[in-house]
Amino acid sequence: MSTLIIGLSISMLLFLLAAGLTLIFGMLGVINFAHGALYMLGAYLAFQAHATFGSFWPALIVSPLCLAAAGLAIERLTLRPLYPRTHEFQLLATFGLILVIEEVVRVVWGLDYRHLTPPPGLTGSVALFGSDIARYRLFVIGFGAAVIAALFFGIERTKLGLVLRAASVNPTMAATLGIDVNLVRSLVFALGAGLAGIGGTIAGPLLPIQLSMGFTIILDCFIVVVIGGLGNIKGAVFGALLIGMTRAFGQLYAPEWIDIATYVVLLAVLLVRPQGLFAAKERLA
Amino acid sequence: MLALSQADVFYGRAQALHALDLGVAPAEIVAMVGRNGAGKSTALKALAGLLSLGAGRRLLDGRDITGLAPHRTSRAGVALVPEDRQIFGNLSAEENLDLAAVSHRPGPWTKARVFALFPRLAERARARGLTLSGGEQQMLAIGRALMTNPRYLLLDEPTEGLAPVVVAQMCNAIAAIARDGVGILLVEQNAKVPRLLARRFLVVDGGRITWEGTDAADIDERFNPMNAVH
Repeated sequence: MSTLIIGLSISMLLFLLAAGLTLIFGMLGVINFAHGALYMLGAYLAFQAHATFGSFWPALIVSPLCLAAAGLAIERLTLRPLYPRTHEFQLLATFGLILVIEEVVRVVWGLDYRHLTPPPGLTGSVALFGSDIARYRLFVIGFGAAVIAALFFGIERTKLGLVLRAASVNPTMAATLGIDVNLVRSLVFALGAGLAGIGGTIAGPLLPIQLSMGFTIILDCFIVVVIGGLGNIKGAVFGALLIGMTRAFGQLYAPEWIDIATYVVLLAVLLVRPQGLFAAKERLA
Repeated sequence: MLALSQADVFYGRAQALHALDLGVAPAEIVAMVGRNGAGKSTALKALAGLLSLGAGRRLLDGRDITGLAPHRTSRAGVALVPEDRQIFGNLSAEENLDLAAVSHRPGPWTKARVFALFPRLAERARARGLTLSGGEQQMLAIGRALMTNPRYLLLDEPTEGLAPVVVAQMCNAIAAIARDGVGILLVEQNAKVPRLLARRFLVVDGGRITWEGTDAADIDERFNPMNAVH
């Protein structure tokens, strides 16, 4: 049972990153290599906010907002001038961002490991179905589920979601109908960066905060996104569950095979459905 | 008046429009006819701001809008119904209409009014765009353009590939929209439909206006040199 809970909490963390990756790809056509670095920056900002305000909750607001603002700036300054170019330019730009963000974090916070304490009330564990389960992991699962619900509601039921679904499929026609597609691109990148900020904050109490944390998780997130089908939120949910569970149960039964196991899952999905599990002919978001 | 003045448009190094002059006034229906590749769609895209002018100007009610981006052109009151309709297949018919209203101030055109103009769309409101028939897609493309409350409407072959009964319905709708005060620039490959609707005709060939007039009687010979031979 506790393995299931651990798996679900890993899945939620993976989803927060994969959702941003897949939204950004769907709307901007850019594979954001820097997403892991944004997540890492989010964790450090959460650490700083926690130290400043003395509580976890302000960090959960401040860090995502800072990341969203950084996302706006990054999209406008580094990606927008490159849209007319080929994909290699955008890949290189996001790769360059990793170097810049890592260097900034190293200069500001140094190389020491940092960590966040869970907020009071979410420390310790509860007995559930006969096993001890960390309260904080239950919170992560609940919070992740709430973010998933909010994203689905936002995409399916709001005006911004409508614009996003249209502009990601046919930006030219959307512009012809009066939609400011550049603004939509900025907002989507900001949203993705904000989600990475949420992910970094949430990860703080679970994992050590360190420079390489983004690189460790982003490979799994790319696997999640490819499994689910690029540009598809529903796919990101199922891909995250699949990889999260593989990690949790792998840790239990064959820890040394975990990385192999995630790639086996990826291979198996690609053999059966090369376009990903949920990829439709047209993208959903 | 929505107009192009001495407009040149290039695709790469190939010139598609040569010093083109054309204009449409409010409540007027102007028909532009010409062969495939004559430059008709290019002219419409240039008017909508989707293609930039190599030379010349684009004017809207006396204001120079030559460099205005497509979304700002739309907000200024110019709507394009493209040749291939470009319905969002992943959105429902109703969502296609809602989308067009997002960036525009409310005006005379509402969903209810579009549904009154094309009752078939009301029946298909919840259907996804990609499940609509050709006629339904064309109605939706025009309805969607109307949801932006345009003062000028650019129609690229709106009756192409439609059944005669739908063509008649479309003609009635276009005439009604113009009576409402909207200036319409109608592009077709033959003069059949334009003859029913327009008062003024332009013949385009090789990116140039080769004839302009109000008498459509022998327009087919004018715009298609092959006919003149027979």
